[in-house]
Amino acid sequence: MRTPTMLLLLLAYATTAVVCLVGHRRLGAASFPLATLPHLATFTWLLVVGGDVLDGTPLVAEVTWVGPLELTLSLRLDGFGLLLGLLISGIGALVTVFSVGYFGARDERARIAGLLTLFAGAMLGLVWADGLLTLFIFWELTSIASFLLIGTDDRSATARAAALRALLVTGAGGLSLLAGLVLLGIDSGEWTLSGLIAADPAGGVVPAALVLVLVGTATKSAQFPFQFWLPGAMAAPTPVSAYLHSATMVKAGIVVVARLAPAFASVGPWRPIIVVCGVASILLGGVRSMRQQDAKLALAHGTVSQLGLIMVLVGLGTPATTYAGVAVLVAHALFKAAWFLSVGAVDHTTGTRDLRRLRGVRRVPLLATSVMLAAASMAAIPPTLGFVTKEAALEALLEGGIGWTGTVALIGVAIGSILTVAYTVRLAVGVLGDSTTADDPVDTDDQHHPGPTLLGPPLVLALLGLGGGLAAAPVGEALARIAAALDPASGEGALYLWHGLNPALGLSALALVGGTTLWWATRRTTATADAPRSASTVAYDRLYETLLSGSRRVTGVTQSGSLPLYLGIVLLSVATATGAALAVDRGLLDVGALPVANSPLEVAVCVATALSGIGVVLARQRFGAAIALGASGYLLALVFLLQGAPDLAITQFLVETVTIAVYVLVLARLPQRFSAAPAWAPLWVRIALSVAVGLSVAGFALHASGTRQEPSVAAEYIERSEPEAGGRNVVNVIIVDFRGFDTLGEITVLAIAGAGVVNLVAAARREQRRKHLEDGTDVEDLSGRAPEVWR
Amino acid sequence: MTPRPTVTPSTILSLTVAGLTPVLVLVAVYITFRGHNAPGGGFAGGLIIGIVLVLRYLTDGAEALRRLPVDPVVLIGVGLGAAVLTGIAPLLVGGSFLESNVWKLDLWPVGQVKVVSSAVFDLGVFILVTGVVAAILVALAEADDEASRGETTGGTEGPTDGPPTRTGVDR
Amino acid sequence: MSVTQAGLLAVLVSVGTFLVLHRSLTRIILGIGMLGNAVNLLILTVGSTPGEVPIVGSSGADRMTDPVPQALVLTAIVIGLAVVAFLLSMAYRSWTIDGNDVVEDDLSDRRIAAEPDVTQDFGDET
Repeated sequence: MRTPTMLLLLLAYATTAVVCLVGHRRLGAASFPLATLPHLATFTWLLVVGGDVLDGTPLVAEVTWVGPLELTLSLRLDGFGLLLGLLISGIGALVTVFSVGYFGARDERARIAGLLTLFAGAMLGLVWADGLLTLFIFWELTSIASFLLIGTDDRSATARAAALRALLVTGAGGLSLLAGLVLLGIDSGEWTLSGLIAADPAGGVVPAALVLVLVGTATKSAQFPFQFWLPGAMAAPTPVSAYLHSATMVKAGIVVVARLAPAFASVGPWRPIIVVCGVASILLGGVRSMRQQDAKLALAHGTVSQLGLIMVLVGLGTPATTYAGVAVLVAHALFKAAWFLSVGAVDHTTGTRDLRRLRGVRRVPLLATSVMLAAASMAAIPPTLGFVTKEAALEALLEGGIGWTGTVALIGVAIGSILTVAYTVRLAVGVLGDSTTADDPVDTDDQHHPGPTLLGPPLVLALLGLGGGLAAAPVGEALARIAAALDPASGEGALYLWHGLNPALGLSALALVGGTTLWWATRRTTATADAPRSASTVAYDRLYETLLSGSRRVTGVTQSGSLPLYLGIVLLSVATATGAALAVDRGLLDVGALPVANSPLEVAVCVATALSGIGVVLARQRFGAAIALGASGYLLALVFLLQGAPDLAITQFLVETVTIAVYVLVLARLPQRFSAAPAWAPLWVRIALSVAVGLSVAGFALHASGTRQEPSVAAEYIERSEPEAGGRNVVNVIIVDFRGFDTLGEITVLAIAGAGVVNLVAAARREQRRKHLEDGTDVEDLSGRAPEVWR
Repeated sequence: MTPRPTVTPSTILSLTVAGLTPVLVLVAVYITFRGHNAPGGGFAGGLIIGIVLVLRYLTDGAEALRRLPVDPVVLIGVGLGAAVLTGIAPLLVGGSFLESNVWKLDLWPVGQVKVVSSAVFDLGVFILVTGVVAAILVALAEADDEASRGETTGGTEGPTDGPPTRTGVDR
Repeated sequence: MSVTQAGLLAVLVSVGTFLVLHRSLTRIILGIGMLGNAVNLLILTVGSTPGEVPIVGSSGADRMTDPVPQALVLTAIVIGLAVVAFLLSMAYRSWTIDGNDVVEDDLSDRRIAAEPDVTQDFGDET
């Protein structure tokens, strides 16, 4: 069904963003309330149309720009898009409300509100995009918004570097994604996601295209080996991190993988890449999270781990794992956003996020509740949504049937669950417990009590995580209808709070016990751990520096700054290319077929012209050179005349006369002595190069004069000249009549050149006057002092 | 050193050139119009006017160029305008851009005269080329004049300490 | 095109190139004028063989030389004049501003070539 509503909503986001960004000085406190409006509108609309969409009638919107090039803005809202839209607008609204309290009266609030709104619109476009190129555009828009938001604190070098790193990694990944999508589009002839999946192309290029797509999705969703930008992105304000870097943007890669997996998961490299990168991210993120002292960084590494889990689930592409992936995605968005907002509230209240220094958070009951509920969901403790979805994930993986990749995924997820429990417990204890180790603990009692806008949003999200678990059956059914949009077979899925003693429950229990044990065993070492820079970060930084210094070195060598050298290189290339062609293929130059000379007189005139031409070089004085040039020009007029071109001869003669006059006028006031500039190359090199260029041009001309295959248009012009244009001089008729349009262009060039001369000279004279004024010489009174120019 | 053209104007030469100027202008116009049937045309005609200006400059100095009856920049505009109008005019009567037309008129006592619309175009070229060359010469000559006024009244500070040498150390 | 004409073309292009490769603005302008002449010669001689003047009535259509290259070159000659005048006034302006007749090295290029490697500060977050 067609509807323009999606486009209107995106437009509303864009308008709000522009209003916030442009009017940021006047908007002030109104900016965040204003920014909630598009979120609320979208959320409401999605609830209204949700029923129809889930029944299997996707909504589409299309704006064609350049049809033949497939440049069409095409959106399609199916069940999955509905879910993501609800998450984006719902969490977006909560984050915006939270921001009211978080940013208070800070100057940059309107800018952040605008950028967040811009991002939200782009993100919605991304998840609703059906056109492959539409997807790419919104994909890159989110990268740019993320860059600007990470760099909010633009006076901090760390924030700037982190923003740039995130932009470069996700931007480069975006290009990889584009290459992959274009290859898929060309191979299948389908330029929409829905069409592509239906076509299920199997060309030889498809595996390569999919690898490119997976590289793109891995960068965006912070998967190994590109995960390193995400912790750096924590330089952004906490609401931004909560929204972009845990709940929405980092899901973009997962969204694309989820859409493609049902069709492409069985293609060669897909599952191995997904599983290897995903499991590596799960383990790496989990281990690194244990070593962070900053609560936000610990959460960020945890996000890498959780994203790995979702990536593995949706990437494996079986109906059961796809269903579980969608479910975990929802649970993760809820508990991770709750976590981030809670940490933001803690930070805002106490002024620190250091796990070693925090005290007294548990005495703020609403905040403590949020943290505990979010932690329970993250650690998959019953009866939270985190638990029931993790159960679904383990069950789907236990199902097996997809070879070694499934086994590796299962083992990775099991170990990952243990790690998740361990770092969650550590985080919860760190935030809620009273610090005993730090010398300078920070207590909440010392600070203001957080207001409702800071406490409400995380609590809502945390409670949703709890409620979703308690209402596992209806939630599971809704999720099944949503997952059916990806793979109809996933519509069978269900969530259970309790479905008997089975291996999945066993693994969950093992994770809880093992994780808690692990936390207890390592609680002292991790309290003092100093997280090292990750190998990926180091590798990235080295690569970046090498690229910069390498390009600088290449530029330094090739762009030495000497303009004659540049020109020499260009000319040498021309001479070499022409010369090589003529030398290799002797047939190109058939001198024997051409006359030596058309007449004896021609030889005499040509020799004289050439001699006066050489005279230009030999002349020691500039006037001598100008006159030698004039002489060769006059003689050239004779060459033209011998060729049968009296018009040219006349014009050449007249032009040469005027040119000499112009030379005399200008050269008269150029320097008396030349400043001695170092030559860029020895004399013989310059002579050799010049002769080589001359010979290659002559060789080219000789070749070209023998290659005419079609008769000249001249015959027709000559025939039509008198009857149609009323003139007998064919050359003149061509200029003013047959090719009059060309001439109109040429005289325009003349007019511009004339105007240019007038203005340049006028400007030069103004300059001179100014100098005189500065010297104390009056303009009008030139007596007594010679102008500067004559010294 | 090249002799500076403005320093010693010869009265005889000056009078000769001044007397020849109208003749040369007529020649230029003639060359322009005969271009349709014989070597010549607007470009050549305009350049001839340019040479007339060079001659006037050589004999009378920059003063001669400063007292031109028409501003050269105006000539450029008029010439370009005429050419464009020749292009547009056929559009008004339903033709195509720059379409040309030939009219044969009986003019007593000259006899039959052939009038070609593209002659107007060529006339535009003539005026424009005249304007461009004149503009270049006037601009450069005025600058030269200003500089030379400085030189001739330059007392002892100017380049009078020995003839300036043009050592060709240019590389 | 005759071999003699090609020889003249070679000389004119060589001279023009040699002049253009100088650092003196004046010589560069002379070189551009020379290259303009050379290219006009190239177009005319490559595009047509010598023949009678292309004026209907004064010579037969079959003995006429090709008028098209002539029409192309004619306007090019006049434009060449305008270009040389333009360049000369640029040289004049350059001289009045900084008293220089020499094409200097591109300063920003030189600066890049001379610059030491820049090391980026990436902060210390992991």
